[in-house]
Order: sequence, then C-alpha cells, then structure tokens
Amino acid sequence: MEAISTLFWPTVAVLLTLAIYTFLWEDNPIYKVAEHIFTGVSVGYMIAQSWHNIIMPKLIVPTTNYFSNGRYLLAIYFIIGGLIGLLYLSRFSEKTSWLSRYPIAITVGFYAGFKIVPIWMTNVSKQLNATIQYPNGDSMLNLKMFGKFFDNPTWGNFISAINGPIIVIGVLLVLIYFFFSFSNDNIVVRASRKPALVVLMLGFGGSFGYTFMARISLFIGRMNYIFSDWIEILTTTLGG
Amino acid sequence: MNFWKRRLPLALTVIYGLAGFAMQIIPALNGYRDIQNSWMPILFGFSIAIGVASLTKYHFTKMRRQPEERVYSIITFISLVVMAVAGLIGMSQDGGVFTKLFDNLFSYVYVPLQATIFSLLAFYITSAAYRAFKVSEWISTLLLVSGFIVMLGRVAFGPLMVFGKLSEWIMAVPTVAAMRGLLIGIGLGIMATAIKIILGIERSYLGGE
Repeated sequence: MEAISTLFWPTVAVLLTLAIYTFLWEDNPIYKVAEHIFTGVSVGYMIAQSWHNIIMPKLIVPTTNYFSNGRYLLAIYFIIGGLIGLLYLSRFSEKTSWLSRYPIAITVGFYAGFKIVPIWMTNVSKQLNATIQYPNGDSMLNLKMFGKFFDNPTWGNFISAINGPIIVIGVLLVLIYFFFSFSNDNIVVRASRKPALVVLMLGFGGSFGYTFMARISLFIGRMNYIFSDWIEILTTTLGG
Repeated sequence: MNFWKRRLPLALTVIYGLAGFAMQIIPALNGYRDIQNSWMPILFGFSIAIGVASLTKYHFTKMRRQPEERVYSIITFISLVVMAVAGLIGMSQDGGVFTKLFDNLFSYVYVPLQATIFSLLAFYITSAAYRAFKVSEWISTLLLVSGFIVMLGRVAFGPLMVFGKLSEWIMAVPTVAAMRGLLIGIGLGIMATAIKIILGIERSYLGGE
C-alpha cells in the first residue's frame, strides 16, 4: 500500500508528460484528455490563488482590521471595492453583462494614469540613457576606444570600439523603421530600411535561439524526470 | 440608460485615470497612493470570474454542439472543481487531506503539464522557422544564422567555443539594439494610449454598443 502511494503521483506526472508528447505524432484522444486536465487544473489553481492571495489578504483581512480600528470610511471603501469587483460576475448573464464595465473602466482608467510615469522611466528614459552611456558612465560613442584600437590593433579592441556605435545606430535605425513604417519617400527613411531590418533580424534571431534553448532545457528536464527521477523511485519502491 | 451603460463608466475611467496620474507625481498623495494600490487588486481578484465565465460558456456550447467531444468538457470541469476545492481548503490549512491533495495536484499535475506543453513548443517553433525561412529572402536567413549561433553558443565546448563568444556578442549588441528600439517604441505607444484612455478618446475597452 505504501509502495502504491509513493509511486502513484510521480507515475501520474510521467503518464501526463507522455500523453502531451503524443501530440508530436498527431492530435489524439490521449493528448486531448491531458490538455483538458491542464485547462481545468490551471483555472482551478487561479481561483484558489485569487482567494488566498487577493480576496483574503487584500479585502477581508484589511476590512475587518479597519472596522476593529474604528477606520470606518476606509472599511466602507474596501467593501465598495469588493462590490464593484463582484460586478464581474454579471458576465454570466448577457442581460446584465454591461455592469462588468464598471470594474473594467476603473482598472483601465487607474492603471492608464498610474503607469504613465513608470513607463516613461523604464521604457523610454532609462533606455535612452543606456543608449547614450555605459553603466560606468563612459559614452557609447567614445572615440578613445578607437584610439586604443589604432594604438594596439587587436580583434578584441576593434570589437570594444564598434559595440557602442552599433548599439546607438541600431536603436536609431529601429526607431526610424517603426515610426515611419508607412509609405515614405524621404531618403533617410528609405536608406535606413535594410540596415534596420538587418539589426532586427539579428536581434530576433538571438531571441529565437534563446527561447528555443529555454524550451529545450524544459524538454531535457522532463526527460530527466522520466528516465532518472521516476525510474529511481520505481526501482527503489519496487526493489525495496 | 445610456448614462449608466456608457457615460458613468467613462467618467470613472477619467476620474481614476487623473487620480492615478496625480498620485504618481504629487508626493503629498503618497498615503492615498498606498491605499489605492491595495484597493485595486481587489478588482483583479474578482476578474478571474471572467475567465471562469468564458470557459464555462465555451464548454457548455461545445457540449451542446459536439456531443462526441462532451467527455473532454466534463474532464475540464472535474479537474477545475477538484483543483479549486483542494486549493481553497488546502491552502488555508497546514496539513490534512486537502493540503496533500493540493500539493500533489500542483507538483505532479500542474507543473509537469505546464513544463511539457511549453517544451512542446520547441518542436513547433523549429518547424515553423524552417517553413518561414524556406520561402523568404536573404534577410530572413540572418535570423536563422543568428538563432543557430545562439543555440550552438549555449552548448558550446572545445573548438565550438567560438560560437559561445559570438552568441554573447549577438545577445549583447544587435539584440540589445533591436530590443531597446522596440522597448522605446512600445513605451511611447503605451503612454499615448494611456493619455487617449484618460481623455476618453480610446473607448474600445468598454465594448460595443
């Protein structure tokens, strides 16, 4: 009995893993079962997460605390938040589904205003700053690096000298490519299209290779689980 | 009715949008910002209802239209209910049957399935990339070459270590330039959209009608 309880869940994990990989052959009922189990379990997990990580600590506990501390206005504001959140449930009926616009409108509105400054800081200001200078404060277009290369013409010095200008010119090319993506006869815009595509393709290729290797490492992890961890559990449990 | 269905939600968007912006730039409003930051997730918490509603609606329609596929919808509902109940009860206890059930479902069902489905993409992005490169011009071959070098660079050893250096350079220079250009563009786009939302110009999030 103990052997069954030790083996049961790891074997379930192995069977589900193999069931998903059967899709590599073709779409089949075994894969569909595993896929639908995943959908159900994921949504079930999100429900539990929402309750324990949001509804309880952000609504029920603070509201109770505010009431017991005599901060009634805050408590009422949090109850109103809960009631507005409940309006999402109106989606279950077509007649009342328009009520769900209230929580959506508040969420979209608040975060639209709240995120303007952080987005400016992280996506624009810091990125522009990093395009102008290295983290140590040196300029990206530092001519001293070229001087160093001419003094000592090695491959390493050459790469160090051109890296900064490539990043600066690459960022400018990509920005021009996207901001003037419509038909444009300007000579700068036309001349920058191919070089911009070269930078983008090299960049996308790098991201593609990186993503591919991340997926492969997940695949290796699953194979390692089956052929190392599970086999070990199997031999230990059945052998012992 | 137009007031309740469209104007009031729009007014709330404008009010909360301006309030959100003010809370970021006026230090005197830091106290209100903290309260609002713990208030907003309450709405998120209930938004899971949209996901459950869509899933339920989709599967009920499917069960009616495709009776031969009914068994899969039943499997979805059973696994949803079992995981939700195990999580709701199990996560609030320190031990017990539900906690064990939740831990096992998470470690031996949810995590392996998620990892396997993601790893499955490795095979499909490879075949998709191959088909894309086959029909395209020389510039798309650059994507293939750069991707291939990064893949080799990640597992390079011995004489192949040159791919390791090349891979590092591709990730540190052209990829940084491309992604930084994209990030700046995306950032400006988000800011423009946010301003349009606050001013009530962009209303698509309120749906049709």
